Amino acid sequence: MIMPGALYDLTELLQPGLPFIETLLELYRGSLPQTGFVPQIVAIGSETEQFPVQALAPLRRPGSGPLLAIPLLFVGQASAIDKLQEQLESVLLEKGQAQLETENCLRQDWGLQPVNLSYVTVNDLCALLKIQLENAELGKLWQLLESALYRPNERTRVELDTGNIFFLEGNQAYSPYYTFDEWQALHPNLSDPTAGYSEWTKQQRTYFAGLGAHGIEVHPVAGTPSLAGLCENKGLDKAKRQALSNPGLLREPDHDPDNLEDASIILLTEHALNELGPVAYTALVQAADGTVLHLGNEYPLQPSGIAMIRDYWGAKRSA
Amino acid sequence: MDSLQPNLSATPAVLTVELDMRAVAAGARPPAPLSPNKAEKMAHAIAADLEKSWARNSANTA
Repeated sequence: MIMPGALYDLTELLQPGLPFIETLLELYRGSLPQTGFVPQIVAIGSETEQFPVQALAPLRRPGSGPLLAIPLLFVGQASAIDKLQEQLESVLLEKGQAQLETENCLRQDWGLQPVNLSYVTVNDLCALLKIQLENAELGKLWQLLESALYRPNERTRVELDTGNIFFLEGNQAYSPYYTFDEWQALHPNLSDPTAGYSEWTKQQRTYFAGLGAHGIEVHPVAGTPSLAGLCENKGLDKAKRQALSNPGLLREPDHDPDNLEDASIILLTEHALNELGPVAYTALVQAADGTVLHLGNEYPLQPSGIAMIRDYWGAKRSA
Repeated sequence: MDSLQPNLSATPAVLTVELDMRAVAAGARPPAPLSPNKAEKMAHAIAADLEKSWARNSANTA
């Protein structure tokens, strides 16, 4: 058996291809003597906060949990492992409670007060994640994660009730991102388009963050031409062609502002929503005589996009 | 799972540690990794747990 002496959030372990397995396997392989396989217990620890194996370094994000996990890998003769795998599946979720000595290690060495300690299989862990996400009304995020974890060669399309669309292939996700005007054009009969766009943006951010946390790269895609109504195959092919060159930022119009040499006034207006913070910025650039040199909207698609927009216009202003 | 060398194989499992929701909501950070000695102590405690669990299961199914 091999294990790291570290705690991980479920998002760190449940990533496409389950890379922690391959890493532990490599380490176990490296620990074997020249003479071949010897059953042994290998534990990886660290004298400093720097974990010796970078690929297994726990992220320790504030607020991780409430369920954290220590991964274990059992290595042995193929016939024994086949039998063990069956035992794990049938025994662990029902009877796999940790005993007092293990609990004491956690309490003394980590200072934790665990509410529950259980041994589970990776399939059990996925089932727990599914329940957690469904309870948080993120069942369709689970659909995408399930596809990435269990069917990496398949293409998947998911559409939310709010109209957000996600295409997935392996560990790559694509999703059209609409400006407010584009979104309003798709929903012309709504009485409160701002509330509708706010909800759409909230879902977009939640799914981007959720997929990203599980190691899935998210590519925002230009919203026009529309991808609505396209199946997973045609939609994904088109989405790949329309992926934004800068995944942190959506510009309307979609090019760098030019002819700003005569700029005298640069006004950047932030459009924020209570629950979401900044959603878009309007940049107005005028010459000294009042001529409008540039008027455009810029949408931060990741938290880093906010700084990108502010820094860009800050630099223009002081140039 | 991948074979390491002829006739060798591997399978994963996980020890889940459920924390108090209040600590999580307060933004607590998971603790730093254990020292090699403490990690080894925990690994042996875990191995003993699993051995007991399988022994109980074998006794019940025998």
